[in-house]
Amino acid sequence: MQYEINYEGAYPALEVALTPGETLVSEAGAMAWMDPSVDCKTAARGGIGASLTRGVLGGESFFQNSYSTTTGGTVALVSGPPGEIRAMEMTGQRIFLERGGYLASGPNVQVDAKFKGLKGLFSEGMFVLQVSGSGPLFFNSFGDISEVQVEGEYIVDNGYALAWDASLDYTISRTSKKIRSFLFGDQLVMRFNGHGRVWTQSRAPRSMGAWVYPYRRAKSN
Amino acid sequence: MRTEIIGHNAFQSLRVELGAGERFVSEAGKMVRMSTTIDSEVQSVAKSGGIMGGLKRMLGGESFFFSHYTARSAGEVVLAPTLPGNVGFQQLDGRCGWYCAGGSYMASGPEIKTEPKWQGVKGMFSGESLVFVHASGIGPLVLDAFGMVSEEQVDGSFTVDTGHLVAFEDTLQYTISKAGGSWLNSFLAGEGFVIRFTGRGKVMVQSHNMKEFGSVLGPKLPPR
Repeated sequence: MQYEINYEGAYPALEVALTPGETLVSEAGAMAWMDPSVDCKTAARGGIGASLTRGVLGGESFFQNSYSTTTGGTVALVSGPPGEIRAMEMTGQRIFLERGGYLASGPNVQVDAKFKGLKGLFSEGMFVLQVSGSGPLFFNSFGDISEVQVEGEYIVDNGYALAWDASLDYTISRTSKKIRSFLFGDQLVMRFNGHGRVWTQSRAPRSMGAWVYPYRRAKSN
Repeated sequence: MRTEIIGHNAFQSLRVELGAGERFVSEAGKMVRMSTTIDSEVQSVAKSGGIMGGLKRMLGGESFFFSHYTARSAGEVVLAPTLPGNVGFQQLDGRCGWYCAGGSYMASGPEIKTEPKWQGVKGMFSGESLVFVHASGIGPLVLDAFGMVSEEQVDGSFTVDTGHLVAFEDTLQYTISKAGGSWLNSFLAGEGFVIRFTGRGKVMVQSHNMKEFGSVLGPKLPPR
């Protein structure tokens, strides 16, 4: 599959040149423009059960679009927030993606919602997306993506964690053990453990949401 | 200690490398990621400036709390602003201090002293926060910005819209006033208030105005 990530900077677009027989799967709503020779099918991919867990629980769209072509054509996908798009070749490894980080993938890449367990209660969501299989995976962020090689332990604020290798364990904790810190504006963090990569984004949708909150209009009575 | 601004223009963040025993301070809640060799502790401003100081900072749009980072052994901390844009950076040499306007203080080295400075009546009409944070001492001072940051060397006089001001050297004199014409003109034109600087010193400005952006997004949200 031929692809390019164009317009480097804050507003990238992923352009995939499909040849007959190739299929690209994407998050519903990610398509920005495409050749008329590209067909788009919307489906609850993987069956209703898998879509339900991925959509309702994983925070992704319930539906996914599949793009294919009989003559060849290009489809361009973009992410919701301004930021970065990364491509990764899946070769049987497993990675976890936070809600909203998934953009698109090849047809043999599996994306499932996975229950985080109790620690999900304290973090961005109860579920993460588990990505496995083989082929290209495209994920996106709010802000820039940094790749951190973890050897041992590393701390990431949970609003900024985007993806991590399944080889890493993590626990949710506070930055400090002190009660005072807990009461006054401490951050909840993910404490990663093991060997593997973590991808972080440089802005947090939650923080920006909190920033815009006071600008809402007052309710008129 | 080594500081480095990382990332694209639109999404810069600050990476700080600390050696064993070295410290760094930021506004609470700015940490993106860090090594486990770094201890972070949240302290209220009360420790440096008293409760009144803390309240003043809050009025100034700053957080009431600081995060203090201490390295047990070498490690890194990455800090990011909330909005898209640059990170403003100044290496203070002790020659003069800086005023940080409108909640722009983000982080600083351990030898930088920060105090809120009440702007009095001239601040009250400005629509800008009433409090500037004054930073002095020797070391790095890091500022939050929205959009691109540019540094202007003022020699004589210079005028900045209050929404575009990030920080300025305390060697400058300043007055807060309306942008021009009559009060009515100023109001209707939506230009609001400007800060007029005189003297010699540096002014850091940002290309975008947070309030303008907020007022674009706010009406799209459910009312409060």
